[in-house]
Amino acid sequence: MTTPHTDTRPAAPAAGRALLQVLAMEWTKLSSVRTTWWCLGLGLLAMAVFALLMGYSAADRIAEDPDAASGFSYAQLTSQGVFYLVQFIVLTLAALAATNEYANRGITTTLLAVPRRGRVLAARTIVTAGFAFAAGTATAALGIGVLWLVIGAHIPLDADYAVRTVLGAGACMALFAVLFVGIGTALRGTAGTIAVGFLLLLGLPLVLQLSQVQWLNDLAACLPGLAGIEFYASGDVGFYTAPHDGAVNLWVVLGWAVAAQLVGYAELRARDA
Amino acid sequence: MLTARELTKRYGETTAVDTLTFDIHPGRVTGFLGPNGAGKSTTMRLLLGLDRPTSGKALVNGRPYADLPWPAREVGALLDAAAVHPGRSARAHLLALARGGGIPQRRVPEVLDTVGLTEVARRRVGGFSLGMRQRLGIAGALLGDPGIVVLDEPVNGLDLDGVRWVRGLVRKLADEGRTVFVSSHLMSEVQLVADQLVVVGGGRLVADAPLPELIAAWSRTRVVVRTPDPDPLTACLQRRSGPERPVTVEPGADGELLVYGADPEEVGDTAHAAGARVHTLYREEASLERAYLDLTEAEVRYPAASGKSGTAQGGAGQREGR
Repeated sequence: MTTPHTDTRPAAPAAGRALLQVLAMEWTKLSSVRTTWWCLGLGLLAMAVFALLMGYSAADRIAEDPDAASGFSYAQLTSQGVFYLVQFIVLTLAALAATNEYANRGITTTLLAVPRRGRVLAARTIVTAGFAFAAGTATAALGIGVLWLVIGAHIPLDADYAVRTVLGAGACMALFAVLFVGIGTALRGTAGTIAVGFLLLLGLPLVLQLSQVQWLNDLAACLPGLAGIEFYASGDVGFYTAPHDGAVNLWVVLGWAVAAQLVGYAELRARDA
Repeated sequence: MLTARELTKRYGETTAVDTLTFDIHPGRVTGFLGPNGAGKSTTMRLLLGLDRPTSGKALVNGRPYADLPWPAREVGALLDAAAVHPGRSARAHLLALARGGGIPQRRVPEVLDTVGLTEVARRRVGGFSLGMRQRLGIAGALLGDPGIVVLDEPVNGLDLDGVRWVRGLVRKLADEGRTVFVSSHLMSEVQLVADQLVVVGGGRLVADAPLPELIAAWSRTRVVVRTPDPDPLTACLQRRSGPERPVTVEPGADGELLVYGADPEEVGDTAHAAGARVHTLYREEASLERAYLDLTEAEVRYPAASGKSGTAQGGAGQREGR
């Protein structure tokens, strides 16, 4: 009963090559949808407008009172732009990347091409994180650049500090992508993922801080949004976040990302597609 | 070759697929027939590793789908034509699948040409008609030049031209020696393309046999007699019954007699001999469609013996016979 079609059965590709195939597939899917590019464009535009606004208002203050210049920080303003604007665009992108195939049932087609579910999740996470890294660095660099164009004549830019902010924002956005691809894979709904993401990044920490209870206030620093900005602003956030500085904040974000991926992977494996 | 062994899928209290056992062989078109909700799609999803069986086995060429080294080159499937991101172009959709499945990219324009979508390859799928999406789904199934093709309701939404095209394609794929497994809820559609039929109702196997055998088994022609003297006629008819030609008489719903195994002339002569008055006498051809509905509604299992004989016949000879 065998036919030429079933007779010639080539050996399976090596794991590395197989992952490259799935990476290529996921990148083709992400990059062939306009939403991806709209999100990136929106992030860049929002950051540029934010930086212009902040730059001119700072320039006004400095013109009135030259002492105000000492309170100005490129890193702080850019980081706030990332915190208030860019991270929500990364959230939307990651939520869509993880969940849109559950809405349009494209997940069946994907799993037929690549039945190893862990491989699908890994590739999707890497591609989205790579894109988020690019988006994070690009928007942060644009923010600093626009600020410098507006105010550079008054206040010099510390290049090292700027690079640290740009790379920090990129790394943090990449980890947020990992986090929200994990949550999205577990929840399978775009709206739910974005809602949970919004609470983790902004809603919950704000409420905890509103409580006026010190330990709750400190607990807010363990949520990914505040830990993230603490990291990429290098401690110069401009509002109260956490009692601790430095790399520990990146570990907090990483911890959230790993936990979300584990839950997402467990769900993807156990539940029918 | 697709194999189901005691395949069962339960969702809580509901049993969608109930201990299904069958083999789908290469070189012929196997129709997968059953009313809506009979478990056809679930069975296909189990075979393709999308859903996990509650118990039993679903195998592709002897192993679970997820263990296939190059699944997209061994199996091509169309399960849900709408399952494409509406914002993606037809070409990008196929390109992504080709990359994921390790299939050369030159196959993309080839399959687009096969299904007649070359003109609209760069248009976004969101603007496609159901028929165009169906064609795109078939293109995706053919992408890896697979030895096994699984199509779930492939003619849904197609116009007459499209339906005939699918019939021709399915025939061609089977003639090339591939395993072709096509589901439908329409008896009339399956009848035109299938060599073998697997029929399910309520998640259970109703029949697994070559099409001609099923037609013979289901199209039970009968003679309807209306008589005020049913007893002598029944007795006389039963006396004519022999081992070669069994004659059976059943009472109908409105007091008429339903005679199987005898033609109207014989029944008339017998009535005359028995002295029974005859008010009505005619032949009734049971339609295949009706028989199929009766069968699936009642979930009667078709005797497995005839299914076995069909399996032994093989595909090629049967096709020549058509």
